[in-house]
Amino acid sequence: MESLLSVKDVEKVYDNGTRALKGVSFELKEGEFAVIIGRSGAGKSTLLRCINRLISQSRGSIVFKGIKTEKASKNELRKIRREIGMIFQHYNLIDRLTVIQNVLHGRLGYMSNFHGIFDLYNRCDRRNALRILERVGMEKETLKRADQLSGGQKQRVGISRAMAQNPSLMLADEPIASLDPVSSGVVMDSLHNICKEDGISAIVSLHQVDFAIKYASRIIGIRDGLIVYDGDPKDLTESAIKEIYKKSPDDRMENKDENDEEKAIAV
Amino acid sequence: MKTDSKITIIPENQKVFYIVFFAAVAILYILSIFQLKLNLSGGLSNFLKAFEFMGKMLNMDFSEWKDVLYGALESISVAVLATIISAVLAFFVSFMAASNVSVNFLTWFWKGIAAGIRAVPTLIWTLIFVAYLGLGPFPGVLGLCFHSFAYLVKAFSQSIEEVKEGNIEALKATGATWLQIMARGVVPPTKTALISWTALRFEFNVAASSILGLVGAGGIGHELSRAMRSFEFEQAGFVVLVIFLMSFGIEMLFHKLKLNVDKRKLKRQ
Repeated sequence: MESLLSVKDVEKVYDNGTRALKGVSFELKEGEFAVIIGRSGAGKSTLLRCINRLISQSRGSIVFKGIKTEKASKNELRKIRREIGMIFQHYNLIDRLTVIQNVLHGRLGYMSNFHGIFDLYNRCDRRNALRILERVGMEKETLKRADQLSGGQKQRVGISRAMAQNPSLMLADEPIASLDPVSSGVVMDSLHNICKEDGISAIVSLHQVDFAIKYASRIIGIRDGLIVYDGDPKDLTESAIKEIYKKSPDDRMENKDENDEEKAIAV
Repeated sequence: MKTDSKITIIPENQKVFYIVFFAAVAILYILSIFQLKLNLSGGLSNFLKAFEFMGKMLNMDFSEWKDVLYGALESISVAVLATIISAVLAFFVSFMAASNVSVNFLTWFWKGIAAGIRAVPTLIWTLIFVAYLGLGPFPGVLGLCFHSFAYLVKAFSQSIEEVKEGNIEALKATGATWLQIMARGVVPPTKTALISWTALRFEFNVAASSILGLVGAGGIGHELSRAMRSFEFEQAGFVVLVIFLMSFGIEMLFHKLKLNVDKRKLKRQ
């Protein structure tokens, strides 16, 4: 299988001096469902956001479909982003808009400014959005406002929005961290099935090791900005898990680091 | 844990702050009385005179009702024009002034301009335009526009700054352009706030447009000014009544509209 994404020696140092990533390297093949696990503040969110350049890495290189993201022009970056769907822990839906409007936002990267600004989606996009909503079992809620949905439903709309992008790669930043176990299962099933059926590669950051083992075709363990495990879920032993979740000397900075990550993702 | 000891619920430094604050207010109050050379007996006689004056005004003269109503209509038109023009301009500028969606330089530039304009009251702006453009409602529109624009830029940009970062990040991740992010991710969650601020400013503009006539900008203020200058307090009483009804009516209208929106929201929930 061909390599879809190549991450080489990526480092990220925030303005306050926090080193969130300390030289991360890995390659992702087409169709892989990789799950990143690690403690809070280990650098999982930073890594995901570096891939679609929501934040820029300080050093190293990220190549997506043969294009170096750090050297991509504005137009190239737009093309890269629209091919990478992203799912967020807090869903990040526009609450006042309907479910289908939120899903159709996934098409903005393909549209002209004029069409995007005035919500002028073509019939094909609308039909496709409905089809995606059917796949995640949300076809009856299309005209409901996003703020009227439950957490699990919101996340399925989030998945649908990412799917509307027709992506080659799906990034999911702790997609089930705010959900109960039942909803978590539904969301992970939807995400996993869609990626498997459509041959979409995925990188999902999770806190739940059991979910990681259940769904992943590959597990990447990050501790303190470094990859400490990269392999098959079957080989993830008790000692490997302990190694990934071992306390680092910087743990007292943990909460501070998380806040910094959140601040750093602003426009 | 000791239960008989005194339990403090306000920090010591906060207590000191309150004492200093209220003492400063009292000193400023007394200093102002001395500065204005006010005395209580004079104040009381003036108070009685004011009652006498009010009595005259209550004995209203409706003979000039056509001119007064025309003036009222002119004032409302000034307020409508000024509100629409300033709201449209402020809407576009506020995206450049909001720190979460703009660059530092533009944010400081537009916020600085807006603060500078706001520092000068509407009446002074109107006076400046009257001096430059002559008498009539047009300088009134411009004067109101200036202040409304600055006010709305501040209000709108603050509403935009309250938009969740996640909304912006999510659309950015889809490959949306800046304009698309603003239109689809920022405007929908702020729409209600922007309309509310504009409505509030319209209420203010109606009230303000009523007094702009005092500095030569036409409208019902001109009628009031004319009646007062010619000591026709009975006519002035009628003008004041129309101003009151105009401002109160518009405030009630918006209040009713707001209630209807709230009811619709409750129904949806």
